[in-house]
Amino acid sequence: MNNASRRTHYPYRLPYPYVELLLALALLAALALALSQGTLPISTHTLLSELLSKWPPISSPTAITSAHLVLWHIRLPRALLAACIGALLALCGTVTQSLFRNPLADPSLIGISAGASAGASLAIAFGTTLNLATPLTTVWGISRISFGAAIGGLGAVLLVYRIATRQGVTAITTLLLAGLAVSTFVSSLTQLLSLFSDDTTWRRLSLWHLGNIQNATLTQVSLTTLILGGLLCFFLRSHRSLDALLLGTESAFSLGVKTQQLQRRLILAVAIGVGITVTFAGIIAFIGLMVPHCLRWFVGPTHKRLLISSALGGALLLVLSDTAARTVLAPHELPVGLLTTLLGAPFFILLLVQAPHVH
Amino acid sequence: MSTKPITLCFQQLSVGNAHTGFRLRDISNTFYAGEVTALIGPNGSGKSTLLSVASTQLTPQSGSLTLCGKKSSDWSARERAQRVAHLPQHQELNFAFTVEEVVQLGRQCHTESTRHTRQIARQYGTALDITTLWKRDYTSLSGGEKQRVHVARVLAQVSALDPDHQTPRLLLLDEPTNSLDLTHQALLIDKVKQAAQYGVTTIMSLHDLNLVSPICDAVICLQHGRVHTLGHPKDVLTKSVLESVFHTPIHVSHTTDQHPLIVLDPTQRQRQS
Repeated sequence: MNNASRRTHYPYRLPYPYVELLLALALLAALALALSQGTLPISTHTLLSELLSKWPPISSPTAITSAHLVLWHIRLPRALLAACIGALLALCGTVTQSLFRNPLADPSLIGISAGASAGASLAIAFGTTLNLATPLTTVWGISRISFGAAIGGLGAVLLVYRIATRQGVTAITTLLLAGLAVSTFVSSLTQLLSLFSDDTTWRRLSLWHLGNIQNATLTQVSLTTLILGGLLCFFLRSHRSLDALLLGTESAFSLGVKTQQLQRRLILAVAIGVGITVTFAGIIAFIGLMVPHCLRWFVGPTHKRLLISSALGGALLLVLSDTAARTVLAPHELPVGLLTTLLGAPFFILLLVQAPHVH
Repeated sequence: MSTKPITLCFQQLSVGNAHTGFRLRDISNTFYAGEVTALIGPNGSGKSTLLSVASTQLTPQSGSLTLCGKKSSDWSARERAQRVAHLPQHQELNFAFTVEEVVQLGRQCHTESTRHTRQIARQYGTALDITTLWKRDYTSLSGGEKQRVHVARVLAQVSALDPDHQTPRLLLLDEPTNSLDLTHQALLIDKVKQAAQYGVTTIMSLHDLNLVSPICDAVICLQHGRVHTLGHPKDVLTKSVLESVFHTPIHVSHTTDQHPLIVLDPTQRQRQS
């Protein structure tokens, strides 16, 4: 064989569990960074003593310093929410790529982001006309925009799924086309609404579109953690079936995978996972596409390793991005979604140019 | 022949309906353990559909299908997967697995140690001459190399459950010789024959009619979703049958060991046009 002239294509693959360990350590470091950096710097010493002595956070408010307040009520929820959302986005990205059998697929393909935008726009627009409370009024820490986004996103995915499923069989190509059509349609609706909205509403809407994790609450953190845990368990339990799905539905069926049932559950899981991130953080692009794509170089496409490292990698990336978003131009804040796109797109173009096996 | 156990039995199978047209109509046949059957016929005559029905992925509109003594719907997905492997015509894998990982995917329906999986995968890697590619990126392989990887994968999938090979097993290959060179076509034939000796029933669609007689015990010739002729290769691969099915002049001669040798008859063709 003329192996020397052929490239092996994965000079970077590392054996288990080096990548996983490295990512976990990096995530811990990133969380520490996120907690200590900001307009009010918190020293490592204060950080450690606060974290170690004041657990649980409600107990003994003997000496409430500003550091204590900032840490427990602002930075910790925000850092944890960023980690959970990053992990969810990367996990859902991995699964969407397996569902479409395409390493360049993205959760937004099934219409969830566009649907959520439309839902959020409707919530803002109708809130203003009906003279309801301001869009930021919250129920259990969830604003009306968020409710609109969650309903819009789920609605769009259900519609796309119904269009692509005939007699109990979901055609993946139709799913893609239906996702595109529904996305375009609801995006036009969003734009139509924005024509009739006033400047304040318009600005709020575009800020929401750019994605940010401001005003994170512990309620949001617990809800997101719950969903992240559930999805991670489900995906990891199906890791062999996900591997088989990459061979195509016929081959996967022959290997004993209940393909239709699995596809339906995966679509639902992705809708819930991305839905919750859109609800709390708006649209944060590129993490779901990039993280699994890059990690395949290091751990290979086998889901057992890819899912865990994607979750860690997504969490790491969003914690770092969010810390950068609020510190780089302090006291002003950049929307984190804008930052991931600004850095993500050029990075991705670099990958396309460099990597030989990207199709 | 009739003393052998029955692996698969079709009774009056039909796919499709009178309204949309039939993709398969009134197919009845019995496949015995260790028997190799070829499916031949023009494009669109229902060969792949028949294989999908046999794999139980496609449910026929009427008729019944008995797989290893049970109705197809009575099998759990996992137990069925341990006995029936289907190699579709087109492979959709687009991810950078190593060749080893792809072959190992075939064993995921079995409960066994990682070491055992690795051993069996290696065994079929050697059989299909892909061990030199073992750690290579699947997506960087040529078409024929990829095909060999998938053949190794399905062979590994139905590799013996028990040491004395008593469990009936079924191998469904849709044009397995696609993009294989002569060396590897011969290798594939050997492996299919070898599996047959261990009791594996094989049904495969073939376009290279010259491969049929040396490997197969029976041939089913399909036309418009119906069985046109069914029987021993020497009875089916005749000038009259093939010309009536393929509508083109065909010349049939015989090799020294009496296998039919089929070529297009160009002189006749010119005269026709």
